[in-house]
Amino acid sequence: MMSDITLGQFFPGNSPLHRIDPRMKLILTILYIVVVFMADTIVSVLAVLLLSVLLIPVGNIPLRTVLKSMKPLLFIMIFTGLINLFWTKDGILVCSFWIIEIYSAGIVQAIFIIVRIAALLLGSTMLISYTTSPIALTDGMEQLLAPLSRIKIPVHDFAMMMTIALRFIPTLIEETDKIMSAQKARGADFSTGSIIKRAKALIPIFIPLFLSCIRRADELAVAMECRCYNGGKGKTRMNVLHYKALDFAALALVIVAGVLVFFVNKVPLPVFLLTK
Amino acid sequence: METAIELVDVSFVYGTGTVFRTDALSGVSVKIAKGRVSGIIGHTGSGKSTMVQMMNGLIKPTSGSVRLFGEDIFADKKKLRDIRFRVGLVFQYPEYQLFEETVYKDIAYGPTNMKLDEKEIERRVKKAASLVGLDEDLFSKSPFELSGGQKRRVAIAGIMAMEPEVLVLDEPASGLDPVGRKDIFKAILDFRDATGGTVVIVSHSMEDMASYADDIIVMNHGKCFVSGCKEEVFKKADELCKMGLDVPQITSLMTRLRAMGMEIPEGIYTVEDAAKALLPLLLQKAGGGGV
Ligand SMILES: Nc1ncnc2c1ncn2[C@@H]1O[C@H](COP(=O)(O)OP(=O)(O)OP(=O)(O)O)[C@@H](O)[C@H]1O
Ligand SMILES: [Mg+2]
Repeated sequence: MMSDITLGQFFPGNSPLHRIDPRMKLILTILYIVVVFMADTIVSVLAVLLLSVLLIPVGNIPLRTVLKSMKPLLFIMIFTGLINLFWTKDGILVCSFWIIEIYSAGIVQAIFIIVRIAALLLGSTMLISYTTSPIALTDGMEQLLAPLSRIKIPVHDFAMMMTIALRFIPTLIEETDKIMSAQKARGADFSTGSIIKRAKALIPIFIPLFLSCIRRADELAVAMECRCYNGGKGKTRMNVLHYKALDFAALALVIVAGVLVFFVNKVPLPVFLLTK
Repeated sequence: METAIELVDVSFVYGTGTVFRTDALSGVSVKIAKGRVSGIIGHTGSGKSTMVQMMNGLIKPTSGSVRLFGEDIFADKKKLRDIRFRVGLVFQYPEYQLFEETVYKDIAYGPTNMKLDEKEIERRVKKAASLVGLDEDLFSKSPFELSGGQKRRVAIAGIMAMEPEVLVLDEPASGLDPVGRKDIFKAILDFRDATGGTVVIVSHSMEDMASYADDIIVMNHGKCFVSGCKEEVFKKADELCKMGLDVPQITSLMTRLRAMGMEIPEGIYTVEDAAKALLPLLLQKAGGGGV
């Protein structure tokens, strides 16, 4: 039951997308988001979506997995689409009944918004969630933000905390699972009774879980001190990140996409494809 | 002999449809005889824990069925909770599941969930505590103030207090010193003698199994390699050794002595038995004017 929760959705692999330097991926993601927002006609935003769809085979991620993880956001996409559909009063009146009037601009605007959200999600999840391990991500973040430590922001400590937290999430899920099973074996019942009764039924899980968190934290702290950990000062790395040709190629690709979007935006469209 | 628990062609897969898919069990069929102590032994990752969690319905086999006295335990979902009272499962490192304010309350957690009355709960808690050798002075203490071995006993008593028909223990003695191990196993055997129940013990140690189990099930890579009474299982000593599982040291010593021509009977698994077999031979030699 707990094991069904896929955390961080990372999908191990060795595709070009996996191999891009995590620092570059963060930069690329920011640039990509800029490109998505630059695209302000239906044609250019569809082009961006197409680009991000192409990332799925490049990253070698099963289509089913991608679709499944988009499902929870379907509601938001449809809801935003509907609001735009009914509230845009521009362009050609397509149909009207009762108090509702639908204009061509409304339809285009609704599709535009849905496509934009989809492109935003798909592109950034393909770049970050599916193809970057959480540890590589924090590592990349730490090094990108390293200059901030000059102005006394403890970048390293935050990154270390994040790394540790990420590292222990699966462990804690496993532990919760185990404790739940152990209490179920003693007849614990989590699914029937009033809310208060159910909340009380969680005590036998939370107390052992908290205790184990504290014990682990304590052990980890001791283990780190034994290895002379004293913060980021003078620390060297086992895996030093280097930008490679692939990283610059990816950067070039996103910049080209941005330039293309800029020009596609300027292409004149027939009136029924306009949003205003 | 009556069968208490039977696994019929059981398979289990963790993480179906993900990259991390593991076949923990594949096509396992075993029988646990009523009133006997069965030992399950095998390497790390051979599927022992997975197997015992099926016996009380905590995990459902991907295919195959689990029977308790002939009934499929997954036939009626509503009865699963009753099954868990009938088959008591002590997890690996059970001391990490303690949570109550006092030792007494923690042992009483299971029986309370069974909705027994106060008197009966008290009787069971006291009985379970005496079986595992816990002093009644400890009842009002917090379980977190106890030593590791005492915590383990509290946790085991918590399951024994439910008075299950089948008591299943996953590595009950791991991480304890030799005296602690002996005490735990003694408590388990006492439980069996007191209630006439069936016991299943998972263990890494052939020595322990040789001394305490009647039947042995050897697991290897998610399959049942061999099962049967311990005499039969230890006859396959060579194959067990190839798998990296040792027969008890004393047994392999006896096998080698026999190979060297000494007249030693088969089926010696404990040091006491070996002493009994060797003593007359040595006396004979001494009396015969040898060394
Ligand atoms: N919760 C889980 N999720 C995924 N895989 C698991 C899980 N639990 C066990 N496994 C895998 O299933 C296989 C069998 O595990 P199991 O815990 O049954 O072994 P075991 O014989 O009890 O080992 P040990 O002696 O170390 O306790 C192992 O390969 C293990 O990696
Ligand atoms: Mg195990």
